[in-house]
Amino acid sequence: MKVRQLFKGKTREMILAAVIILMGAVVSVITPSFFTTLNITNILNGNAVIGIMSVGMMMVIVTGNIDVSVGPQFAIITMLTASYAKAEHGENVFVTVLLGILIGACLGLFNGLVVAKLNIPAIVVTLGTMNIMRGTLYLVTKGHWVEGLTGPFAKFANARYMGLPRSVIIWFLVLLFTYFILYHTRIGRDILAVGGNKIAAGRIGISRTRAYLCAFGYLGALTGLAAVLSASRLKIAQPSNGIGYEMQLIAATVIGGTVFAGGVASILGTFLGVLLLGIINNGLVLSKIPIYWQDLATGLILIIAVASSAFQSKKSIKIRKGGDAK
Amino acid sequence: MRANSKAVFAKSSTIMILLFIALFIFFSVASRHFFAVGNIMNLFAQMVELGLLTLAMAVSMISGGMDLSIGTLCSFCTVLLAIFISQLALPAGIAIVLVLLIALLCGALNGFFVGYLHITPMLVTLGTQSLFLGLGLVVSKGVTVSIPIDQLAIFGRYKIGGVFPFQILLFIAAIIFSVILFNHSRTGRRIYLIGSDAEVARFAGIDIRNNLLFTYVFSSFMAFAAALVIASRISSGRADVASARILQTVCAAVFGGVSTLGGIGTIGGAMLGVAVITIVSNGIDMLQVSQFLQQIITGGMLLIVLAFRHARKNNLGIA
Repeated sequence: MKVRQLFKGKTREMILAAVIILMGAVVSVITPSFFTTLNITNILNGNAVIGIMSVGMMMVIVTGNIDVSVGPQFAIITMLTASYAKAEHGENVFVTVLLGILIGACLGLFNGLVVAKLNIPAIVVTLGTMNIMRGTLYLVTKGHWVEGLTGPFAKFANARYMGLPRSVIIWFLVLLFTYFILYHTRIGRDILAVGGNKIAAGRIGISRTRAYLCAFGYLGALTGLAAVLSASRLKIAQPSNGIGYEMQLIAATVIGGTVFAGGVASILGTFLGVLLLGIINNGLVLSKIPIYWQDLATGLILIIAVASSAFQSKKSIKIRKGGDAK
Repeated sequence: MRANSKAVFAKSSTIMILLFIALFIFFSVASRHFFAVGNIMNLFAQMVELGLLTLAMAVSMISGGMDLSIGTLCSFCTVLLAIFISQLALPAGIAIVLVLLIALLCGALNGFFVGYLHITPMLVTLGTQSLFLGLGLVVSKGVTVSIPIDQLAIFGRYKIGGVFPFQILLFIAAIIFSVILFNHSRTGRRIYLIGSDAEVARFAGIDIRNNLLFTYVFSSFMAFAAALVIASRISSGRADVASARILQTVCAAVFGGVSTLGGIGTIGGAMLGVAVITIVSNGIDMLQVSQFLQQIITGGMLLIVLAFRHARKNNLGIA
């Protein structure tokens, strides 16, 4: 009974999990090195950055918006925090992380503010800020990298607890925290309500601006966190970081079942979406298939995912209509 | 409301023309290399590739969607052209026809998902964007495929009388064709209506599915045209040659008054957007300032134009 309740309404997540297991099984047969603790940990570690950011992107998509400026945001924060860490010789890790989260939140809040106040489609606003941010970053840094990070900061993301790297643990904590915010706090419910129906939410006194600000700010903050982890893990920051991230995030989120029109979220699905794309990439590499098949596979999976969710929603509408008739 | 919105966008195209003239004068004064026959011809030639891709983007935006796949589709077409001509040694004419058919098929794939399965266009084309990139990479094995220098020269390298680039004529023909189709024909009006309110369009008895299918096929046709010009100009095909153009096309279309929500804006307006973006890019090159400044200016102008338009929209009281 309890188990059934747990899985109720989670068809999509179940299907995704099944696909992941199936794919894992296929790759394990092809290459024995896939299903090893080392490789699984590597997949998780390699996707922690995307995983953390995709939960934030999910929040923004839930409000019915989108943020395509996450790539440059990510790059700006890796550059700034890496420079700071280098100046401090990697001491003050806590301050560095906080700095990253704060800068990210500010960038996100700016996007949210413009979208909410000017009432312009988010994709256009963030396209503008994306150009401004990336251009400014290149102009200021002149394309130079920050490298040679040392000290505690360089060890921060890679420290392991029970075999799991710290970035992976932080990823899981972010998932739990997001679950708590979205389903057990007022602002989370507000975000879902605004995404579901802006006008209805406005009528019952939910502030659209506040929901937008929180969602964009949250994405920014998570981008900051992910950027710090990335700088710490790779010990390098470059102004071209994060190009194309927005597409990966949107793909992972949508594969996970978050509805593009807003109002429906799936944290577990987003996690599984990231995992699925990660496993495909990893499996292709391990199976020695040329890397350029990756984009083809990603594209196919995305198309199949959105097509299947279109069929699913058609079915659910039919069921609802049938229920009304009774 | 109809008249109002028409007035707004008539005004916004006047602003774009004024902006273009102002930028033209500014760059002519600021750089002595700018106002020369060679550079002016070059300026117009530079508009062609972005312009053709913006035509593709603008029509999908007018229909209420957004075709993100045109950049990689265009690149995929350049790869196919190169492979057909240089590796399979097909005559250029046959290669062009074959690639055109494949491009239209790709467009029909988008259109099928959008029109027949009712999936959000951005998601469909996000998927096909990746798909076409992958196809291009797989076919070309990830390398640049060159085209013999004597093939396809007319589309991107031939200059009439040694001065006037031929592709400008091609571009003008494409614009006239699109303007007639979208702003002066019944099909165009239907697509505008679908873009502004699909539900109303359905009640009006418009065949939404096939009109959307047509829109995305048209889009792929323009992407193919851009591929011809690019492949000819660089005498080669590469799977990511045009993928970064996609953001510029959205900027150009939005500049020109095309709404991302669909149903609003004109082809001519979008082309003015192309002109402004190209002149900024060309002028900044001539001033020998960092290319990155151009990115900042484009982004900044986008936000400012939108903020202005928002303010005026509120004054006129249309949502």
